[in-house]
Amino acid sequence: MQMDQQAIEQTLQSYRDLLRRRTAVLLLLLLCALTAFFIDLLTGPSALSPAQALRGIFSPESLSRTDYVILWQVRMPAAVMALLVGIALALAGAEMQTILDNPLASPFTLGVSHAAAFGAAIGIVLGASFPAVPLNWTISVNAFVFAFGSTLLLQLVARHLGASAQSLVLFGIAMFFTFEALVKLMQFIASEQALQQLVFWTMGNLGRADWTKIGYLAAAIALTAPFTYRASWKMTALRMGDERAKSFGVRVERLRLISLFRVAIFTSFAVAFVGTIGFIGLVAPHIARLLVGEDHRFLFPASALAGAFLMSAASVASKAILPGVIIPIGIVTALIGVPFFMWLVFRRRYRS
Amino acid sequence: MTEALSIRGLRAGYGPRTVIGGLSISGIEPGQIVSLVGPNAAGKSTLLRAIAGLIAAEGEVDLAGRNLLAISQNERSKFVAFMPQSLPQGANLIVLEAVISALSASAPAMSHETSFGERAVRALNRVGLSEQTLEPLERLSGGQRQLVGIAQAIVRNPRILLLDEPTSALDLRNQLEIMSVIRGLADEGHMIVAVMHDLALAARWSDRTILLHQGRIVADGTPAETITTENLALAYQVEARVERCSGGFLQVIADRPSAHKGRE
Repeated sequence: MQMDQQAIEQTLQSYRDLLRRRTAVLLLLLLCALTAFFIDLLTGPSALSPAQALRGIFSPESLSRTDYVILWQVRMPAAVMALLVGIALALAGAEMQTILDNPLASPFTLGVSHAAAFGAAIGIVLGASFPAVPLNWTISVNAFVFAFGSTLLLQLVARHLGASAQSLVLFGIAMFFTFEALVKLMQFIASEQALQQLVFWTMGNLGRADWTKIGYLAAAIALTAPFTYRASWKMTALRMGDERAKSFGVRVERLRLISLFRVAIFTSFAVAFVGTIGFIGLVAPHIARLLVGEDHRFLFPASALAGAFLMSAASVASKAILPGVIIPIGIVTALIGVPFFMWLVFRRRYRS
Repeated sequence: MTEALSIRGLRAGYGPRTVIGGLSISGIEPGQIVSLVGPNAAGKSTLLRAIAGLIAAEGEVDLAGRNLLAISQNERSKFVAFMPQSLPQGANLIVLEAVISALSASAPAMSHETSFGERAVRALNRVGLSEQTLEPLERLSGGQRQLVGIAQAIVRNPRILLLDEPTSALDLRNQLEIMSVIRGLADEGHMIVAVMHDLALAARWSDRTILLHQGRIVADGTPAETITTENLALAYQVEARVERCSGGFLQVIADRPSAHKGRE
């Protein structure tokens, strides 16, 4: 029965080839995301040729004043924001789906986005804000605090009720409906002007991006994502059940709590600046899973890149569908997301 | 003898509910397969989980002078491996990854992983899955999935293997294959404690059988000593015949529920 060294080496070589193919898939995804990003820069009411845009990216001073403003002050912040929001929501979704052992988990479906919307709503409708927050930051800070708080609430449930993945999901769904009702209540009592502003906020909008906000989101991702990646093998082990992971030496409860904390950071920074955006956090991890499987060393980066690609593509679509009008991106992601989602569900049906 | 596993005064349960209240098992030695049998809710799985450190437990689980209940989960996983009933469906992984994760999930982040790959391949070869190493888990049969579980358990080369119903839901051929692999592991010097539902299977393959009822040990000895009409009546509340079949192994036939209701 003893396997000779050569046979082992051969098997390991085939495994290394598989890992190399997955790395190639990651590079391909990166290329897709960058291409979508570039097209995003070219899309808009006034024409900008690819050559101009490329020149403008590498030597901004060569552009005319108008082109400079269009590229660097209008399109670039929105396009970069799209990439970052895609990355943050996709990573949050991938972490949630694994720790909650539920393919339908995402920041949107478990109420975190609605909590953010409620935070924004009390800012817009009631003018309520946290002390020492500058006026133009009120809505973002409110949304951030509520999104973060709602995820911490999930964490609290996990910690004190010793909750299983399943009851956490149920709690998240309860939160989804509660905050949705609260947002509607705010809409009901809002003035006409506030109502318009609130509805617009909940549709998600990249137009609110500026370099300061991008800086915050980029920093949040840069500081959090490495920890996500470090947890890769523990997450992979968790896919085979709590007890099995525990017997491998993983502290499962702790893993879940810390992961929810990262989800809180990813989601609240993303939705605070652009409003409610659904389906990216749900769909991007599914695409990644189809492409590279569930070795989380590949699943996490692939999710992030798929999220970035989807958001950029949605941003292009939001400008291209109706000439001269930018459709709120939250609407576009949902419209793309729903059919894809249905396909996923039915594909699963067929297989089982 | 120095390496024996002894359990003294073990108490365990779930939250406020005590399932096992003070249970002791004398030296389980390397090379032995010990089967835990008993009716549903007798505390078999609880006992196994307590030894594995998966649930809160008091008392002593002593391996060569070391109390396994007093060390961290990560430390314990070097000595003890626990195999749950079955691998859950739906994990999109290949077989090799599933086994490597048993090593790298608790390793310091991004540590040297090349040796993990080799150890995982050897473990899979040991259980006879060398052909399936790069297959997706989803494509394996029930028996093969169980073998992946055993490979995950042995890849760290722990002294003690705790198996929760290793043959449940498997057909005869697969039962036979799994049990021979387990026998082989015992012969290599592992200590094996397995929860078994099938008494005939327990009698056929184990060196020692412990019969549990309501968190207590009813009988502990060779399969022939433990699996008797009297003991079965006590633990399972059935009238059963225990007979020897042609190979010399025990066969249990339950005839009817017994009239008396045991000790409630």
